[in-house]
Amino acid sequence: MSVSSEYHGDDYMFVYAGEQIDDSVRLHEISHQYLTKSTHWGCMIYNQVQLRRADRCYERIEYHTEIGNLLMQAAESTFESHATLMQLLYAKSIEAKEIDELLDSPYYKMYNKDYFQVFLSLDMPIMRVIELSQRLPVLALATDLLEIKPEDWKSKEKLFQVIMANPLKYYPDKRFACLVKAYRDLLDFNIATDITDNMLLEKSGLIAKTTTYDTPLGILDVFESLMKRAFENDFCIDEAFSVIRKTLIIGDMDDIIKSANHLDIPLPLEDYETYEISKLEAWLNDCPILILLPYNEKIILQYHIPMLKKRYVCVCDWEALVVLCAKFGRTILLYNEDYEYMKKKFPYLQNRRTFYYFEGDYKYFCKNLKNKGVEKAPAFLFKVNEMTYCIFVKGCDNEIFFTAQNQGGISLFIEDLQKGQFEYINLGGKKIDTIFYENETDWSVYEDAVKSVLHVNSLSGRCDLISR
Amino acid sequence: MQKIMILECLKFLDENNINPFKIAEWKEMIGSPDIDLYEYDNLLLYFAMNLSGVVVHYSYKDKKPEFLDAVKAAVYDKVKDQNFRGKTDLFTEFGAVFIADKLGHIVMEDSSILPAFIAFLLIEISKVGIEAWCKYYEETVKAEKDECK
Repeated sequence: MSVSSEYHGDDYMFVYAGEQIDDSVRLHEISHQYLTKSTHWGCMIYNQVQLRRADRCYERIEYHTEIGNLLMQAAESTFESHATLMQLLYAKSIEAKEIDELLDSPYYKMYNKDYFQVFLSLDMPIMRVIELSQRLPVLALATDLLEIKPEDWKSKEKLFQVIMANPLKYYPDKRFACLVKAYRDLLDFNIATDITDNMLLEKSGLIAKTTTYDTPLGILDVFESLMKRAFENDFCIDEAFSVIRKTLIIGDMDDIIKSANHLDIPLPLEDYETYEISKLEAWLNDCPILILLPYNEKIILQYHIPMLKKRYVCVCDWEALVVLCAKFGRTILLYNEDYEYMKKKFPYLQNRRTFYYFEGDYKYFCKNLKNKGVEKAPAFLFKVNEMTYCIFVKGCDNEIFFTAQNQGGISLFIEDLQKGQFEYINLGGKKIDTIFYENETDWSVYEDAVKSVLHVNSLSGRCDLISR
Repeated sequence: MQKIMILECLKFLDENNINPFKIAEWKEMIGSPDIDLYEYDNLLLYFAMNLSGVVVHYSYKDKKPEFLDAVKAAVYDKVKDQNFRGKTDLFTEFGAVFIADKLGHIVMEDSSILPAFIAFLLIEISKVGIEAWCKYYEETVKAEKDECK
């Protein structure tokens, strides 16, 4: 079984639909999440991800992706060294044989070996070592990023030049290497716990901006204003920052580790081809799924043909959507972020069967259901493959909410079922359950919905749960 | 000749979307009077590991690409050849041609990978000298390989 996973600079770690990660790799990914959400540099990466996500017209997606990637590349050694050390410390603490695999892995050689050796040699409780070792990447990422001029954010080439022109100020990996060297030198004359941030900064000759702005939340207004100046009040910025303000807060490493087993969520396979179309074609009315993405007084339509693995994207106005929805009798799918907005903006969806997809973890899903007043509602599981399941929950007015989860999320769902938080609907060999499946062909609607969000080719199907 | 090889290496790294900061690190390394062979080796490992795309996925079970050791071994065998002793310029000019035939058993999907990595090593050798490079190879890479046998 593959153990690869990805961290995209946002709130979760992703595993390709159907794959599984082990505890050690999970720890690696959540270490990335910790640095992303608790440092200034990481916060700017997070901003780019949210700006990209808010850009429903795909106008600046490429740009935000490039800037986000460049920021990640400039801090690659810092992020990877930190995450690999966390794995090493974890393996050391449980005396796992995996430590030999890690010491032999290319990652151990490619990144900062001195950092690993210094902190692996400290003889003290693991949480104390984590605490001490984390200060180095945090200080490396506490850069003068906000002092980069708005115009220098406009291209990745320009940004690269600015970073390289003053590496001790702007280049996290360079700063990290200096801090590791300083720490190692200080250890010759001090005990590890006596080495303060100020001693490290003084020894390495660096400045850390956290002393001015404290946490990334403290700097958010400055970053927002910087982004608005750089992107000339791009429409997406308000939306992106409204999300960032709610989601940037993160606990310490200990808090994250405690909730880590359900933070990994399935990632759509990237094998759908996208075609942009300029006008609504009649034949698109036959597509099984229509995804609606509201954007800037317009609406983006996404049509999926799962069988051909193709996605068609079209921008239209709200008047055209009224006509289209009257003609289009198939499944309409929206993302949960647009729920409130669509209810107000487009009342034509009322009483029409509409699917709302939640991209986050199981707790995010439940919190949102509760906010919508959906409690003790009918639910069923749809098995995608051995690792991935979708949870479907029936709301009011023919609304169906669903999310894709890996095993960690599903175990939380089973616990909630046992507590009576949902009413599980078994199909029991019938073709209609009168709640989710109202006619004999409804099974295909759920398959199409799952395929459109996860891009998987084949599905296992709906599950009946037997109570014991 | 070395300038052309450096330009070709830079082109190769750029075309393979290697982290630009790591490319800058390599440039700085080969421009400095003293190359840390260990650091250079780790950078080559980084390039080899990242040829298939950006590092956004992670697996500690990923292994070192096999071709890297094969290229180093082939380069080592050739430079140990007495005909090249002390003839660094001659070697860097024609070395790639001599080495390529030693690597016939390695099938690479991308045919530019082998010449590029031969060039990375030849640039390194021309900077530090054949003797120093062979000594480093024997003490580290070869020793590690022998230990595994």
